Amino acid sequence: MSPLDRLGGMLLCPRETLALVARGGAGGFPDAATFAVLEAMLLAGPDLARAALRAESLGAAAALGMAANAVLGRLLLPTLIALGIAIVLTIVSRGPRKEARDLDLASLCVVPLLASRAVDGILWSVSGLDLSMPLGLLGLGGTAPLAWLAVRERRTP
Amino acid sequence: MIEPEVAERRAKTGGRFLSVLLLALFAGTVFWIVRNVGSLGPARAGAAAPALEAPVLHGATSLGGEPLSHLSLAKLRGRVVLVDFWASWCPPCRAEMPILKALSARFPRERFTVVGASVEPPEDARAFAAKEALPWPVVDAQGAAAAWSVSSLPHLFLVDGAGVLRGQWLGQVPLETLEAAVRAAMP
Repeated sequence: MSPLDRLGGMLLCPRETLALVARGGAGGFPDAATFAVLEAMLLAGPDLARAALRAESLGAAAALGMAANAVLGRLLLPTLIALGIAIVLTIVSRGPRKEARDLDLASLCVVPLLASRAVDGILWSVSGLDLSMPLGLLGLGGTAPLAWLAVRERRTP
Repeated sequence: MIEPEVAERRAKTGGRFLSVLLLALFAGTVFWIVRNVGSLGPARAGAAAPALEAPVLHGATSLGGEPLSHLSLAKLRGRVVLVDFWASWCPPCRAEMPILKALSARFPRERFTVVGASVEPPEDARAFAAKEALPWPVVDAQGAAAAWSVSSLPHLFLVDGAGVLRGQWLGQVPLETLEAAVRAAMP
């Protein structure tokens, strides 16, 4: 499975994808983190362009700060959610495992949130439509059952 | 659990969907930037300052004359104005207040004034301005920040008596720098 297939698998066959990763398959955190960073840079595109165009008048440090704020701000929510799920997985897991995959499983659980944010970003950039609240809730709603599946997977001996 | 072959097929479909999503997001972002590139750049010195019309939260009589309920930058023509976009939760904004007070004291109010453009809930701005006894008008500028392209605080704009933007600064600025700029903007 390629990294993109693993992320896509979380949307269409999450149980199988989680089982594959939990039982020693590659990926998880690196896949989701790469996707999240790419997406954050695209969502922050207008702010990055603004920082670049104002670098001369504001100074390089202020422009860099603006750019970093824009990207990190968009990474904050998925990171916090993934960390929260990872902590829950660590707490509820039973028995010793060869390797800890809690962060890998937890990172994959935020894929619906990342996808819904991408859809929101596309709609906003093309039509100015701001559906961040309903789409964000939809993304969180998709993340919750995946977290539950990850908990079940982690508790499976 | 579904068959591994079926799961793999579905995962590939999902992966293709996500890659299309990223490509569409990239195209959408480029489209937005191209369409709005004119408003992304800095407000250039020498250009007309954007409009600022906002309700006064504090210092309604600080400019002299009748108490103001609304302040319009256009009505301050003839005087050099330093528009300070700020919020009380922003530490550098708070740290800058003594500098602006000192600057304000160095010029007669008929020739120069600071205008505090608050970008936070009016009650918070009003309480802070009263506590600090700010000697200039403070307005609720939450709706004006976009027109002035303000994206971080504090952001200062110097507007001369003809309504032309003469300079802007982001972050804390030394008193001497501001004073020199104000003097240069005076006729």
